[in-house]
Amino acid sequence: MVSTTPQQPITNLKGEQRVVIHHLSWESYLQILHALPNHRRTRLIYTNGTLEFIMPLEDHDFFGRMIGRFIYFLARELGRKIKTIGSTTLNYPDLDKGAELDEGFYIQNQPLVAGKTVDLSQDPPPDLVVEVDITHTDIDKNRLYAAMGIGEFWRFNGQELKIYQLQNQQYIEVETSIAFSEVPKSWLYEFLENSRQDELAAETTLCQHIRQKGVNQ
Amino acid sequence: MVSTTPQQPITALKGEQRVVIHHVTWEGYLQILAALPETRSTRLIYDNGTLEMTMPGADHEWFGRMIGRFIWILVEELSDAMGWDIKTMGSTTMNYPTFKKGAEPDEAFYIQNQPTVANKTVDFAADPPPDILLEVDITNTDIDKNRFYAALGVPEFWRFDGQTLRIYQLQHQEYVEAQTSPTFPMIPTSRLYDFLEQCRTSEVQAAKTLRSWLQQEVLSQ
Repeated sequence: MVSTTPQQPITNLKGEQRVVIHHLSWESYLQILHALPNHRRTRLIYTNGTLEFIMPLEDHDFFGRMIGRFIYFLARELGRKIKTIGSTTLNYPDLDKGAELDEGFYIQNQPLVAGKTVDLSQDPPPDLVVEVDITHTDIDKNRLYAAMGIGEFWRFNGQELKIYQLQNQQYIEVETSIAFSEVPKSWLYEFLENSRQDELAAETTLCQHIRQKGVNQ
Repeated sequence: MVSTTPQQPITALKGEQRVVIHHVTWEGYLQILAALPETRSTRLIYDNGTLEMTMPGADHEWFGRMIGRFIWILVEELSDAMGWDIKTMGSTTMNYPTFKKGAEPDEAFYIQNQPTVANKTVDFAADPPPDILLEVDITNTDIDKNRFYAALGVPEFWRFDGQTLRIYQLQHQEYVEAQTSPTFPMIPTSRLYDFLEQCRTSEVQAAKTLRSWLQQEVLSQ
């Protein structure tokens, strides 16, 4: 089993281009959101006066998609429910915070939001959020997603995955996912490494892996 | 005389962070402009549906300011001889709704047309565009700035990439690269490189050196 992270040094990766605007009101943030086209690569994150525009580059996009796919395969193979929200804008006016994620999923709470458009003023936040940040971000994302009440936050920097679990409104770093406690991080690293060579073969290997390791569910 | 460009390799320079958004309407661009704070380091350029936001890094800012200062000193020293004055526009938003173009350049100056816009707020719909406009682009930009500023009718466009200055002169609505500035034909480009090089150690000394060179070598001719 491969247990290392992908080999390419982080500095060579095509991560993100970012632009930050300070001293922006919530109303101005909404005005900008509405002025922008719905379909765009650039994502917005707003928290308490600071707006960051993130334009994901090639490697960022690849890792984001692959980690999202990894989570989907885990849900499928382990018999969980899953609802994909992708980069839908999560706006919390009361918190003065809004975000467009790399990936977001309902897993444990999927039954609460199945078959409907999520209304964050009533529905729970996504159970699992993934963010890829290869270059520096000015936004304190741990504080941001903890404030939104997101139970589990996966952060990937191009080499290493950190998993955070919400406890008493703060994130504690943990070794394994809450939603998929039977899955070690090394499976993700192996999946990413294999995906660089052959995405379909990586899926086959991962699924065999889950079955062979005799995950007892 | 040093006639080379600054020594630092371009890749080591803190150039820009940029974000590009496509399919933005002119109205959307105006809404974004209105929503953003007036005072900000991020600059917007909008060209027919494409919005580029540029956050200048330390070297970008420094080169922009120093080249702006270079132009300002030239005009000040040559003002009596040439009968010039200067109006500094800085990064003022230049919006041209009929062209669906808007820009916040690094530096822009009225020199020949200074009397037309003196003591008033420039109205780009009625007033001429700035006489000299400077853009520093150390990293790649998605906007074709030569076409862009030619369309706006800017007579002289200075472009600096962190190492080389290129000066473009508007001829029949297109830019033609010029060896020296049409405004300052007596000033070789190497003077700017010297000035920038000297500014790295002492901005005050560099200004003094430039002024005395102008007085001794240009104004005495």
